[in-house]
Amino acid sequence: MKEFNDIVSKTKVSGFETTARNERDNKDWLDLSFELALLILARLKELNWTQIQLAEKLQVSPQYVNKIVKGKENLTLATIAGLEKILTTKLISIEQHPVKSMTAQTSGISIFLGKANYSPVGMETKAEERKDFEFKQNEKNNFADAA
Amino acid sequence: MEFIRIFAEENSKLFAVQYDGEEKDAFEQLFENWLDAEYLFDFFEKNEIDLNSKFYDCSIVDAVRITKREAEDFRELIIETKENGQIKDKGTLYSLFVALSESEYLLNNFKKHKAYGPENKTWLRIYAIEVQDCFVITGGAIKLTRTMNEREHTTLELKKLEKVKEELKSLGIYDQEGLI
Repeated sequence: MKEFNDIVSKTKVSGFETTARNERDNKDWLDLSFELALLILARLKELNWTQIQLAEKLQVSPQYVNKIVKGKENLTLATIAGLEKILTTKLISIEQHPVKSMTAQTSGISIFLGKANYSPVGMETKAEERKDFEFKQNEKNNFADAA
Repeated sequence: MEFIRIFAEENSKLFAVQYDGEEKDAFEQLFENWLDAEYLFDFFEKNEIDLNSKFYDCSIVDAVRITKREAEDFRELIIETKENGQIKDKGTLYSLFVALSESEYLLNNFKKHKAYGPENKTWLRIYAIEVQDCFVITGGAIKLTRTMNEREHTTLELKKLEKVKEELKSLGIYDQEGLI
């Protein structure tokens, strides 16, 4: 008869914790990537397209499309714009806020700072997140004021 | 199959099975699936009939979002338990795992367990065998029906539990009371 510990691998440990910590550190953009993937999958279903068809239209490999729809790919704006064009749907939108103008007295140069908040279409932006974003943006503005 | 540690700590009581031919252990694979948009979309598309039941009544897209959010919370709960040093505490693990069925309560050897996702109306399940104060994770599932026998993917999890139990026995592992 044996102890359970005697049959446990002496060399292997699960990758669970490393993956969890890595994904926790990159949660902000991973959440966006996941939401984009979901919107792409839903649109493919609507269009009755396969991932291979999408890859052909985008002129990329099917493997790359498969990476995108898993929701863990850090997509460039060019890729997102390309997907929007091919899928004829808006995936992300940028809210245009009123531009606040400020004058940098010391340099005599006018600095214009705009505010932008973006969210994937179909996903509600949480009030707290918006507040946090605006707080950070105000901090930036204050910093510009101080400069 | 191989039995591997989920956490590197020597005294951790949480283990997972790595099945033959698989690159990852059952626990890591489970969370990879639950956080994979394509896997979840395909799963809920195949099981849409269960999703449209009176009990759930939600769209595929919403089901994917719910699962992802809950899997993240579940993962954080397990990491926090480990960070608090409680993963080596059998009592804490008993607060995560419960007996798979009433009949399992009566058994002394290699009890089959399940852990529920952190939300009240959860469909996430992790399955494990208890052996010598340790929990060995055999797999998990998104359970949308009342019993496991009603669907192929949950029936497969029952088979995996039994297979691991038999493997432990065949390797000569004794139970808590020294009886095979």
